[in-house]
Amino acid sequence: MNSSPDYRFALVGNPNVGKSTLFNALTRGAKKQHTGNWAGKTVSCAQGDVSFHGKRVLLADLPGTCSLHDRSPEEREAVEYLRQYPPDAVLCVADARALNRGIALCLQILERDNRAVLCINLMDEAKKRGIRIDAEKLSFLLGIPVVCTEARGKKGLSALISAAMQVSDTPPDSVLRPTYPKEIDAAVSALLPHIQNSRPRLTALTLLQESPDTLPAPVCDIVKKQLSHTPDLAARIEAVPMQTANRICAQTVARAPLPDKDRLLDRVFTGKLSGTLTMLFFLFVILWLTVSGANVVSDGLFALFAKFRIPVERFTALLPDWADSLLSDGVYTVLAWVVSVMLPPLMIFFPLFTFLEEFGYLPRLAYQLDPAFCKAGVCGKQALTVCMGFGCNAVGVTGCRIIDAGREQDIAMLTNSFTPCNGRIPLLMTLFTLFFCSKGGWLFGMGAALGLCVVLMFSLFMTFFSSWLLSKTLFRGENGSFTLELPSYRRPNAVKILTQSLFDKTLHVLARAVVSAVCAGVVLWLAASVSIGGMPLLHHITRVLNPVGRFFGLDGSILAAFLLGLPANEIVLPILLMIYTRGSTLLPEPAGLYSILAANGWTQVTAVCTMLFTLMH
Amino acid sequence: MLIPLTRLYQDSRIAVIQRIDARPDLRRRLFDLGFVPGAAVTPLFHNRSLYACGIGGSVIALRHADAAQIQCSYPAPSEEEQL
Repeated sequence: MNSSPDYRFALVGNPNVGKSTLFNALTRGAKKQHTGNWAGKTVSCAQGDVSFHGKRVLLADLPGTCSLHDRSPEEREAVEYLRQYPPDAVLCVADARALNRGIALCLQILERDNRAVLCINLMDEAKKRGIRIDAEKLSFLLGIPVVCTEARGKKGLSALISAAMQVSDTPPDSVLRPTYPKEIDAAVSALLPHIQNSRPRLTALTLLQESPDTLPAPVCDIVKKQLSHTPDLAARIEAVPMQTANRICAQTVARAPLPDKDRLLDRVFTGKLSGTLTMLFFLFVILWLTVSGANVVSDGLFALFAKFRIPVERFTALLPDWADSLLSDGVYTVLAWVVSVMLPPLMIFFPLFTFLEEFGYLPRLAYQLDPAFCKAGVCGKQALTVCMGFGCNAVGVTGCRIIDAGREQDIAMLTNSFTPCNGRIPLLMTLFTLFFCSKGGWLFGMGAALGLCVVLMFSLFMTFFSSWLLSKTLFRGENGSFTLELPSYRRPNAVKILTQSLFDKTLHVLARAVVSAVCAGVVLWLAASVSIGGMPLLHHITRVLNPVGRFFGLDGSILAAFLLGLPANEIVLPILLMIYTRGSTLLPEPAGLYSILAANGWTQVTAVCTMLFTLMH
Repeated sequence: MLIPLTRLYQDSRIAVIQRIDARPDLRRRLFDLGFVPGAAVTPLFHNRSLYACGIGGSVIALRHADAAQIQCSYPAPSEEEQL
């Protein structure tokens, strides 16, 4: 596998055109890229292998860019990649529904290299919306192969690869150049003899755009004479690729009016009252399903772990005493706890969340929340990073790259910690169900979900408030500009949702939790078993932390649990129980949980304080 | 007569972009999204801070201050048929 590939292709395209889906389909999931229905999902390059008719192709998935000027980090990364590792062919991926943007980017690619293929993706969506594209004519106009694909239905993939191989073997000799206004063309021609490199036209255009005054004097005079009647030269040059693309589209794309269904959904989701109501409704339904569903699964898992305990103990009994105690009391108990308390909520929460993501609701949420974020002096895209933070705070923070660099990005990163991530949600959920909804039945699920809604709204409010505070103090500045694309709605694919959310996200999170649970189990067991001055080490720790904990309305044990659970919040509760039960061998049932906590002096106030601490630390 | 994009929302007729007055970085970004002179733009909906409009087959929301810098005009009746 280490031999050099026969071909190297790069996928370049606007954000959210399905590059990553295409990449996954081509590489057959050799390396899964996460995909979602909003711009900016892919933030760094991924590479994968494709074998096609006995040839090995190395495929690179570049982050989405709108153009090849190097301004945003994604664009810079894409441009840098193309400069450093010029591929044998560029696969320019375009969204069939917004073809003009794809073509504009393609034209910029063609100014650098003729070896390109235009790949019109999402053909299925376009057909559904009554968009017809004359690919043959488009190919004729552009001078390069045009391939229509449906990455999700895996259609047109081999045609794409063979077209790319064809252009890299025999580069097309004449491709379409954007048509510049006459006077600019004349100025470029005047400059050409003075430029010695492989892409004189591109260099000339860049020179005119960026720094016409730095040209050598004689040339400068000619150019100035040519352009004396052209105000805002840079603006006119920059608009040309898109204007050319619009003209090409007018000749090749037949478009039906925007679908009514989308308009109707938009009216509901973005209306002043209905938008807020649907937002709360979605939040509530997700939490309700998660809470009530998780309980059932959780009980089942507990029973399963209790059953497995006997064979495990039989096995560990063969080991020396200390190892037996370490494994069965320390590691197994924490592991059982983490899996059965943390897994079920994630298992339900992630697919539901992925559903909304695929559906295209998240950008509408950002739209809906923007007035509030605007008041707080930050960018509405922060709503998206907050949503990512629900999945994982680390992802939320890296996701802040979708916000233009500067103060707004800094604020979004800093305040992301207020979003309860998947590790903290089950913790909040368990505490809430225990202390505020002791009755069983579906009503109880409703109550718990409602309570969680309040908790999450509070965390959102804290995000607003701290953003506002930061933008008024540390990161003072004007409200920056920002553009938010509202993609058309997609019908989510159930199989894709399940595989992506369950196998990738849930298992990933669980694996991390298990690793930290095992470590914490060992540490806890040690702390509980090693005695100093007749008392276990653990007691010393909790006693020292007690006054601090009391200050927050907690106690030393809770604080100790949070400290130990710092690497992964999902293990806080199991650790806490271990501390309370002093590493006893019994595996507490969820029902027994309340009595344990109550026995250690927990009240509703303690629960609220713990929840607040969970949110804010 | 030039009308800023934000003022198109009173009667949601399709308009044609004539000029973009924004500073260079924002202007380039608007170009990339399809807001170029000569392109048709459809005002769709707006809230207190964002103005969403249809441009070249996609829906894009802009902050008020940015949208106000996009100068449009209504096409003459004969041009309207082409759009």
